[in-house]
Amino acid sequence: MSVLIGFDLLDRQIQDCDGQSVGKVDDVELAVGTDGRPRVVALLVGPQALGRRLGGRLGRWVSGLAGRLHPVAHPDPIRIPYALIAKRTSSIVLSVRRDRLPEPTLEAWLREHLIDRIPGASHGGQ
Amino acid sequence: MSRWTLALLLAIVVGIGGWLGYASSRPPDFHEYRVTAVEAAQAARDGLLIAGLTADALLGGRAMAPYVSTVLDDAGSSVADAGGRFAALAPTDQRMVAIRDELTPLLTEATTRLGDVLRAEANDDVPALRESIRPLRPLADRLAAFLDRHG
Amino acid sequence: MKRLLAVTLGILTAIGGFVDIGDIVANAEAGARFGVALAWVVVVGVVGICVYAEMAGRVAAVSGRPVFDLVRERLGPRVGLVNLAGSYLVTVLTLGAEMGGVALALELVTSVHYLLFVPVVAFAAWVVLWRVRFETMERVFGLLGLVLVVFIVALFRLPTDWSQLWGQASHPVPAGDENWGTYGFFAVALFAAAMTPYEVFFFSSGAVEERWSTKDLLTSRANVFIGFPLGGLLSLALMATTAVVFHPLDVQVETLGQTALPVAIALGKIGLAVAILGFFAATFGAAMETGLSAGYTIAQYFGWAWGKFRRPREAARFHVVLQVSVLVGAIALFTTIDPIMLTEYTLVGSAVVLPLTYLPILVVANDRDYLGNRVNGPLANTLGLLYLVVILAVATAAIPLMVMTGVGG
Repeated sequence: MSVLIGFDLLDRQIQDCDGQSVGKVDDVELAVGTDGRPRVVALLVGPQALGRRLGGRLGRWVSGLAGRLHPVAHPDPIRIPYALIAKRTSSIVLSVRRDRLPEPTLEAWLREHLIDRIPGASHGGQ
Repeated sequence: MSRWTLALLLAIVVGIGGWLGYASSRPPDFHEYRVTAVEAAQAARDGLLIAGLTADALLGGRAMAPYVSTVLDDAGSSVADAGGRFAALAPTDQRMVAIRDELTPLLTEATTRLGDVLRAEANDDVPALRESIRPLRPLADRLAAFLDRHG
Repeated sequence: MKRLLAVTLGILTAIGGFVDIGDIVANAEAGARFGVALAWVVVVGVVGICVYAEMAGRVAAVSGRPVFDLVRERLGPRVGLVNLAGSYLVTVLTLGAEMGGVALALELVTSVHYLLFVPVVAFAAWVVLWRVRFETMERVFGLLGLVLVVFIVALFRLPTDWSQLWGQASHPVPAGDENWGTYGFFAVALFAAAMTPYEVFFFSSGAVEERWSTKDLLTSRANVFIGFPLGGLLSLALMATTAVVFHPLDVQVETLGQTALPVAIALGKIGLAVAILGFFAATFGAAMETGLSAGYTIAQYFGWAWGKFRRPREAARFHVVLQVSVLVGAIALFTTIDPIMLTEYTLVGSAVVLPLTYLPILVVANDRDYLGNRVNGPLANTLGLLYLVVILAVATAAIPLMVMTGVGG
């Protein structure tokens, strides 16, 4: 089944099976299948992927900024294998929970070094 | 950023700085002088009328002291600022000198009168406050006459 | 009955939450300079925001996702990024202006210099954003903001010449020695104040925070079609009171304190205290909304977890953006720029980014993918397109008018 990458996949919101946000589809990873046709094998999430896709000076700036803000210099984007996609509606719903995927480095770092140090960080939503 | 880009940026910054410096120190032309004079007169007139209304409200028990203090202070600053901007320009011809001779005494008097109001208010001196309000309106009218002539 | 109560509460909150520092400054200054001749601009602006907020609320209620979340999907990442940059910059500066308004209100009560209050206000803003429940925050500041109705009361207690006011409103031309340039500038400012960009982002994200679904479409429409116009009425009351007191004297309004003077004259100390409380509630509430909008736009562009309905540790990047935004707003104030002047600049900035905000809403509200058969009908689309034309005109005219008139000088 063919998928219009630009229309149906790119820049869509990715949610896990519980409806939690995972990120946007910043880029896709393609591979050439045995029949010679390109297939989407994975979704790539992260500002590095977005920056590369935007291209030009703007894109380099986005990935560069993300790279500098990250605790790990220029980390790889999060890779979500295509097989994990359960549904494609107005957003992309995965079949797994968010904690099965690698966590965005920036989120983890900020939580550990900043948010968790402020009292009340785990107080119930709202 | 390449060295050439940096050099270009520096040149632009220096250029703008130089132009600003020139623009602010060159002698004003008549139009600019008149506009600054008109703004100063308007600010002074506004300040006097606001002070009058506010002090009136205080005397009539219609406003609280901290509010009145703040509004009077703001009025005083705005008159001082506008007057300062006007005084900073040097007249270069007869018309400008004429304007300066007409406006400067008005502005000085406005600053003095506002000072009286502010002092009376700060000292909680009701009779002095009542006294200090009286010359405000006539002075504002004289500034209005100036504005009519030059506005 | 309980439903009616909930809807009424929503409407009251929308009324009280409508006015922010931009509305206060633009309406008070315009009233002093032009009488109520510019009242028609406020009416046009209020209708505009009603049209678009209804769309934004519908998108959020039906698709479960706020408008900005969908901008990147529909318009692409490049356009989305430009949109983000423009919106975020203006929103953060507006946040600064709102906090400045809070500090000015506190100065009026204590006569302590407003800059000394800025750190306090910034800290308080951050605490509320960190801990207070979304709904609680909205309700408290929205309902408190309702006290601005004191300006309507004052209008009746002042020696208001109603026929003269009507005469000014129905002859929308600059009087006295005002010219079309300053008239145009204030029209732009008033329009931008009524159609504040952050408002629709906030409204649609707020709908998701409060978990609206199609059942809540009625609430959404009630808030928009009853709440916003009545809120607009409060703005007009600000314009009318300064029109009655300052316009005949040919005095310009330049400070927040002056804006409250008509109420002091009409209603005395109690009225004045209520008016200042109203300023406080309106600006603090708006500071919350702009802060959250800043967070929403960035988080939604990048796809991060966002929202006050999540625990802070589950939306770390979102909360850091909130903190950074409050900080940047506070820094803007620490440049000692006059908060009123800052407000005027942010209004011009808002006018310029209006198309960035409203075009995506029109696009998304027509998308069957998200709205099914609840897409825009012909009326919504006609009005939407009409306003888009007006918005483009305003956006193009804003900066030239600002330069030409020296920020309305």
